[in-house]
Amino acid sequence: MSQLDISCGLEYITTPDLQNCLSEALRCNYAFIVSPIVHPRFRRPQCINSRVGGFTRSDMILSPQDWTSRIVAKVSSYINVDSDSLVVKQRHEDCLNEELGYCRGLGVPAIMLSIHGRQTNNLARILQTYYETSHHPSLIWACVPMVCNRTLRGSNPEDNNKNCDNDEKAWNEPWNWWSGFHERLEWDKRVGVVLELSADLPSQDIVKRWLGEPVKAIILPTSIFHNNKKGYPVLSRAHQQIVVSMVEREAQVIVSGARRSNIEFYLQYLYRIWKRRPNPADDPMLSYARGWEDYLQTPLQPLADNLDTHTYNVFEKDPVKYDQYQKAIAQALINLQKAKAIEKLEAYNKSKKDEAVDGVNVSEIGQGEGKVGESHNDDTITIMVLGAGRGPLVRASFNAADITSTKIKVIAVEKNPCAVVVLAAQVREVWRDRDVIVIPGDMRQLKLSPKADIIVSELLGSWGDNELSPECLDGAAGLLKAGGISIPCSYRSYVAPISSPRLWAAARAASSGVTPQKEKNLETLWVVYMQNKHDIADTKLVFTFEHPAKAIQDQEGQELSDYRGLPLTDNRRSTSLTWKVEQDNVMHGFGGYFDCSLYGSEMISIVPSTHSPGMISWFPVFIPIKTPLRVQKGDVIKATFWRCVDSRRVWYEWNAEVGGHITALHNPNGRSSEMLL
Amino acid sequence: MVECQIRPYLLVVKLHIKMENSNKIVPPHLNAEVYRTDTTGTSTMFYLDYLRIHEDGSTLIGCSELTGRYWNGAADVFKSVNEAGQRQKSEKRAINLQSGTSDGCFVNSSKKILLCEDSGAVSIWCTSDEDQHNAWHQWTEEVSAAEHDNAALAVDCLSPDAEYVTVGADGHGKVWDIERMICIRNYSAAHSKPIYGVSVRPNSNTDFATCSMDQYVSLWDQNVDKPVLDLYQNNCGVRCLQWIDVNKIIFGDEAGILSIVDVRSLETTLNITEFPAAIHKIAIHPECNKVAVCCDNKTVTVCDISEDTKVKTTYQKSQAHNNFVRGVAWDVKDDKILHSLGWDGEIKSHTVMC
Repeated sequence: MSQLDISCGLEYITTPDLQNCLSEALRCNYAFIVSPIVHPRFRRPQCINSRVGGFTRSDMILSPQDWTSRIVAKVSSYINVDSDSLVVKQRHEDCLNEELGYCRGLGVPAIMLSIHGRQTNNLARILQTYYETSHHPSLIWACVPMVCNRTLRGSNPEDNNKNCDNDEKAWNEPWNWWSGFHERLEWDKRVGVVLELSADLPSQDIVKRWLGEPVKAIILPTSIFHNNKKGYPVLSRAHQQIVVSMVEREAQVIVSGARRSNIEFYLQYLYRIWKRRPNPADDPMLSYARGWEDYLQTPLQPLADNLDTHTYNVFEKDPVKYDQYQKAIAQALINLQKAKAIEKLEAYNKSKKDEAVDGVNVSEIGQGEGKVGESHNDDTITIMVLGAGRGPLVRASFNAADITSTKIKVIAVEKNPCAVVVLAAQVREVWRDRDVIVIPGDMRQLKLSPKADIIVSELLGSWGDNELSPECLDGAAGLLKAGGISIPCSYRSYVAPISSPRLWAAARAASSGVTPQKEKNLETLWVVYMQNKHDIADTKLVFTFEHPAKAIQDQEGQELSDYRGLPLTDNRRSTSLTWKVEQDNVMHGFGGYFDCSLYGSEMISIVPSTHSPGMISWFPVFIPIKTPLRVQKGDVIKATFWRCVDSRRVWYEWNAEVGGHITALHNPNGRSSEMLL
Repeated sequence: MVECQIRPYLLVVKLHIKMENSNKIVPPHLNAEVYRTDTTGTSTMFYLDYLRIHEDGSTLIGCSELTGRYWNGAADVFKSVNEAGQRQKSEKRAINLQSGTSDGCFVNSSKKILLCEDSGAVSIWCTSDEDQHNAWHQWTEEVSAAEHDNAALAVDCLSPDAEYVTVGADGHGKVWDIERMICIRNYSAAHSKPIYGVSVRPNSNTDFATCSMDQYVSLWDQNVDKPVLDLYQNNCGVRCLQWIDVNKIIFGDEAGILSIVDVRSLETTLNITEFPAAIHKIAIHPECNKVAVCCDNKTVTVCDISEDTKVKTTYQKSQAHNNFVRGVAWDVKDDKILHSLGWDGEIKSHTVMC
């Protein structure tokens, strides 16, 4: 969950007097310090038994609370357990284990080590052993620079083309180190990256990719600050932006390096840029989602389960959605009135013609008046609210009727007995002079008369049809007059391939740790306000549904109908999509969204590019893949999604393919997740 | 936060100490708190890290505390190595430093020294015989620059009394004008990992070589802001290096392998001999073709390198010290004498036959 405040630490080059260093940092309002735990120049014999005395200072100089909350332990930087030299590898492995063991004894919140290069196989193995043997889960902070200077330097000044290439490579390289290392640790959520910002910054694409990684902290070397006119250390605008975006994604900030200014000034400055950031309260979605960032939830199943009153309460708070519905209903009412007026006019003209033919005299016009009186009754438009819940759409219908001066009759259908109580109370108490009735029951099983001119429903899930809106509305098709209006009239689901080690690890680990459960977790849709993720490619259309739905046709071209005479529809779907990869990355799954046409031009959308401003009712879904796929620039990702239906349930299946690699089919026969009819 | 976290302990402990100090009885349950505040037994052991011998025989000794409560350091200048060897371990040091020191050197005269500190500072210290107020030959810090972003690990002289080059654990190399104590050339990220060694090319005041944990040995010219050349990419970190002559560099690595690279023909880098531990420091004999080597062990070794391909071990003392040997230096007067010091706090002399 995102923090409301910025948390800063101070990295000490050396901590000659650890008590003093900690006191100094805390006095300056830093939250923690980064310190070596063993003197980085203290080399020690490998054979531990032959040694006399300790290999570092006594931990008793600090209180246990300080060790467990204030100290990030830094592993000696010379250690390279993936050296090509076997003796060095072995010696350094012993040193690393000794330092890790000491950290385990101290219970430090995080252990920082640096990664420099693609060889991290042995390091990852040692850390896995460490986690297997530790009860206290210290986080591992893997520190990488933002740019690989050696690659950058490798550029040949004469060859401009090659320079550009090298430039890009130099910025990609550290990401590859980190990503490969994290992959070896199976994207363990206890392992995060610490990014050391450089004076020059990479392209936005590279920055965005980092924003998708679990960046636990960013290191700000004092050398990248410059002094303003008053002599205070400040950052360039681009650096400020990165700091703010990173902190928004829960990164902490570490000030490091030579003391080029009073260390208090750095902290004060960081507080200032954090305070000055665009106010999240300006965006209702951001303030609503605060605390829910990257928090996975199981999708609701309002059809199978009855919602509780608190859930209704949350959804009713949406300031935008019901407004859109109201506009759509109003538009539909106007159009229906127009249509009726035209119909009446035609009827009148026709009758006039008939009269002229029959030679009926003008005095008989009273009969016409009588017809008007009769058609006055016809003017009442019947709106059925299917799944009325606690009544927000009933209210929207009344509003729309008042705005358009239309006479309406509202029939509120609701299957949840608790919500029916609430609806009935409103009918009795506040809607007593309205033409409204409440019908308890499942919309798929009701037979009502008169039929509706308009049916209004809100049955959509985060991925559009995933709360079984198509099945419900098709089942209720008999409630709508021929040519009647369904609000919504259509909706579409979308996906984009995304990279997010954090979401993937969270999905895998959600609920108990038994292995079969893990498998299930990665074959399930998760509702989540995704923040720590990166879009590998654009959002693309998956499934479309329209209402009223057309019946399928038999081989003779005849539309089929079911035993009740309703159009027989087919809500199975399958779609294959392809994307071209623009940047090396790792795909952990898909972000899923939907948009919906209510009526006419009134839309609601949670697709990022067209998101209805201020609408908070839906977080997107995360659709994981079991084995994350490494993708290279230029690769093509192909993904196929199926929507499967049988007599009692609906489920999705999916797989993805990149280069020669193809994932297993996810959720075959709905074994891990399904929606019950 | 610290106020409420540490202070209460201090308060309690002080009270108790006041009461109990007389009869030395500490309530056992306050063992940890007493340790936290009782700093009386701290300034005990210093690990000797390096020695440098001036032409006039003066000896610079640097030392650091690496495992105690305080990781500070000190330096001392003696008239001769013998005097240095005779001083008591408990004696006060001439120069006390806030943090440890891993290298230092004389700045032309034996009255002025440059120290590299673990804090990243590079400082100039001096003393004066003429100054009557300085009857005790006290050393004072003339100037200090804390510009390295991590420990300053090694120094060498480009031109005496004027320009010096330091390298650090931050991967930076810095050329200093020590007159004004200004960094006149900063090789930011010269290496991607700590730079352990730097050596200025003989007869040059611009060229120097560096070696790093990033496995590279690189050549630099202080007039150029990029490396002139990566001389060698090793298969593990390189710990120390020194020029043998204007073209050849000898270097030792983490694996314990001693190698020679010739800047004129880089392909023919030779691994000349192997030691059982990482090579920490080397010292080339200025006249005869010998190199003294100390590793992460207690042994002092001297090798004859007159023939590149055939290395002869001419001297080896396996238990020269009781802890790791950290520094070796040839005597300036008697070319058969090699001095060594180590983390056991001892300075030893060895007679090495040519």
